[in-house]
Amino acid sequence: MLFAAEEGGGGLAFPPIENIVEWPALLFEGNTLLEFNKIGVIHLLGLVIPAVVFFLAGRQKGLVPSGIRNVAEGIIDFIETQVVLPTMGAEGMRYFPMLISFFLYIFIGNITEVIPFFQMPANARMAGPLVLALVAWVAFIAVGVKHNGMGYFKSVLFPSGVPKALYLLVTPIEFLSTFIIRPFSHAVRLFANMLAGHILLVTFSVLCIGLWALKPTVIVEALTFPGLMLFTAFEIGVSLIQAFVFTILASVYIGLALHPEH
Amino acid sequence: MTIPVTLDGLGFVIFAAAEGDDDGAIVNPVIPEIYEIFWAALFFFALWALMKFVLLPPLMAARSEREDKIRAAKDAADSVDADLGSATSEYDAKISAARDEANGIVATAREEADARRSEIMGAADAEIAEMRASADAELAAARASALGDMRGDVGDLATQAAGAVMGSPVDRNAAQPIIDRVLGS
Repeated sequence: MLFAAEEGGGGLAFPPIENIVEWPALLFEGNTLLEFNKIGVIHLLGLVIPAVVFFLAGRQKGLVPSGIRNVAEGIIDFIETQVVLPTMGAEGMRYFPMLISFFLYIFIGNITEVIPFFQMPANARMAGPLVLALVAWVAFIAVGVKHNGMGYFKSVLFPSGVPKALYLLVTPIEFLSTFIIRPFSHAVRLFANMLAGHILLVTFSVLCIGLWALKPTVIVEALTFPGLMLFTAFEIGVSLIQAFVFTILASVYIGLALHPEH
Repeated sequence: MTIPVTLDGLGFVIFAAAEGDDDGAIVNPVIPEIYEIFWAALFFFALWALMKFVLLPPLMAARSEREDKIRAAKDAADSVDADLGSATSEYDAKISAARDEANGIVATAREEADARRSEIMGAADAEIAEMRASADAELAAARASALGDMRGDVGDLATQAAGAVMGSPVDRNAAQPIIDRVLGS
């Protein structure tokens, strides 16, 4: 943005997309594999914050939770009652560590969108959602094969009750939708929502600053700044909802793999 | 769209911006960077492993222990409730039996009291009748005695009166039947 302003000779122009989603290296600059930038810091926070919270919560003794253990147990209860049990039932609890990791990792990767000095959701970059969607993809296929053997593929690609002639049409569709499009849509849903929200907030920020500089338009500023506040609050909700949606979809996919006949 | 603007106030947004590629190439934001994939995967798998083997087990164990204790306490409460119901039934049965027994005792006592009262009343009535008969007999005897005395006195008076009227004495014994007839004995 600063770059755009300078380039415009003092004028204000909306920054190009790479200026709001790409970040300079903090460590290992130029290393294809290890370069570490702000996105890496946010992913690291996605590991450290849940680890610290759950570690401190786990150290509390006694049966009655208080303080930080209430937070941890609240998250556990939420994932158990709102994600695992409705989609897989009690047998889904064996996948609980993966699902709660999805939720927390994604939520922290999203909420940094509205946190000063970060102001960037890590999931507005494709890498994070892609990794998580691939993990979910491998997980549900592995669960399907483990519980149903190779019959899992048969039950997915050749659903029962369909006339044999229709398999010519249904089987390619099921193959594409289940094994190709599903991980792609799973990743893109999260990525696109967070990128769109980030662009929205940047747009309103640029507008606010530009209109602030033009004193006569202070009346317009009175509308754009509340708009920025409103969208910031909206993006907090989006951060939570997208983490929940990704997690519950992963849970549904695993549940379908457990019992593909359903 | 270009709006003239000073850089005052841009400071906080600087953190939201980033430098573009040095070579000026257009970056496709959909294509992931290898290093971002690496760090994202590394930190996610680390979180997953920590959750599975270190962080969740004590919390899940504590929850499980708490649920077991709650379940045990609830079972104990149900058991106490059942015992209470049983004790209440037993108490009610004992109260009912005691009440029946008390009612029986009261009824027996009442019957005995009624019988005793009847007996006492009968004895009293008999005594009263006996006393009344005795009094009647004494009264009759007193009356007869008084009447005999009165008859003698009235006879004497009448004989003397008759002798005074006739001027000669009247034989008392001769006048006795007349006196008795008049007195209606």
